[in-house]
Amino acid sequence: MLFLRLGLTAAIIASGSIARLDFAFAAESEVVIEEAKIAMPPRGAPSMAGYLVIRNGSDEAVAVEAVESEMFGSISIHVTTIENGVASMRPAPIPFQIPGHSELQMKPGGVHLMIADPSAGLEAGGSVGLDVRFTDGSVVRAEAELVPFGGRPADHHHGASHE
Amino acid sequence: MSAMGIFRAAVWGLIAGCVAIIVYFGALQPRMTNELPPAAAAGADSTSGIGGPFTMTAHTGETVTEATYSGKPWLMFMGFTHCPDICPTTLAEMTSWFEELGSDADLIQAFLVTVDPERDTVDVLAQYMTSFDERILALRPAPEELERFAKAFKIHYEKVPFGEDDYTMDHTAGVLMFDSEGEFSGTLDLHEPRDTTISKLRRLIGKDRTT
Ligand SMILES: [Cu+2]
Repeated sequence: MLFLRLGLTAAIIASGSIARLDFAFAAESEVVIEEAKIAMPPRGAPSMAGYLVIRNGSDEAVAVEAVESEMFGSISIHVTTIENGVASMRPAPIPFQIPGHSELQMKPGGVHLMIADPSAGLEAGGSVGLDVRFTDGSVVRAEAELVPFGGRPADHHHGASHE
Repeated sequence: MSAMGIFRAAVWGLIAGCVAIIVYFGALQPRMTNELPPAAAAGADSTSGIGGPFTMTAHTGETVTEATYSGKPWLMFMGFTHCPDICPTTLAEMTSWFEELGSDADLIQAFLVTVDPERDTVDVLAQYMTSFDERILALRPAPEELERFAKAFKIHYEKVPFGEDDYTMDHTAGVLMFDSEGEFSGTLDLHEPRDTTISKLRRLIGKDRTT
């Protein structure tokens, strides 16, 4: 299990999901959710994907315990890896560690939220509140924009990305 | 044998080897340039060894075999509707490539082949595909047919237990390209720049017109 976890972490770092922040942002000492998007599912698809950018400006590592919303039946954190041309999706190691002065960038083909059982009436263009709960008990609330299916989060760059 | 003798033998051996290589490529050359084979479906006479006959049901209800769209270049993507992340992303991308190519995209036949025929019935696929470009055909192989197809097309798929009583499918990623003669001609990667993808697609179509 430990081995699998290490393997996954290595894969996550290799795919560039965790990026270290440069100086300009090192001054910020909090955890913020920079961008939150949920892609509407294609017709008849049972689940949808969500993507967050979680920025840890503090000196200490933080760890995500869960992502919750009253608008969805379930939200889990998954990792898609593509290795030797084969795509696999697995549950992410929970709690999900984000080192100090780093950010987690979720994206298609990488770390993502897998969301099931949406409340009725959600539509692209709207938004939904999400709570990101950390192992220290803190909760950061984010307003996630509902985008059309397959909507790729805009390429997001502000820190020095050490890939 | 003297040292000189060994040297001579080695030189002659090298020359013979070179001649053999030239003869080998010379023999291949006319096959590649002069021969005009009848429009072949993927793999029917493939030098890459990727391809072969198949029979599947499209989301439209139509039966599709390797011959149905032979003569057109193909795009082929393995996926399944319970895949929330890269499958809709890839199909949405494909839809946007087709938008950019406009009527040129009519020259290509794009397929989504489900690797999860258990849950992806023709009805499920029919509903799912209304979200994407109508030129993309979703194909459902029967489970035994999927096994045969995967072998012939060198596709990897695997059912993996997930959560309590759920499962997910590992599957070959990327979009496989086949030229109008049915020859495997590379993969489109989701992470490559859009311009690269569009020019690969134009080349795939262009092949049709120039040769
Ligand atoms: Cu997932």
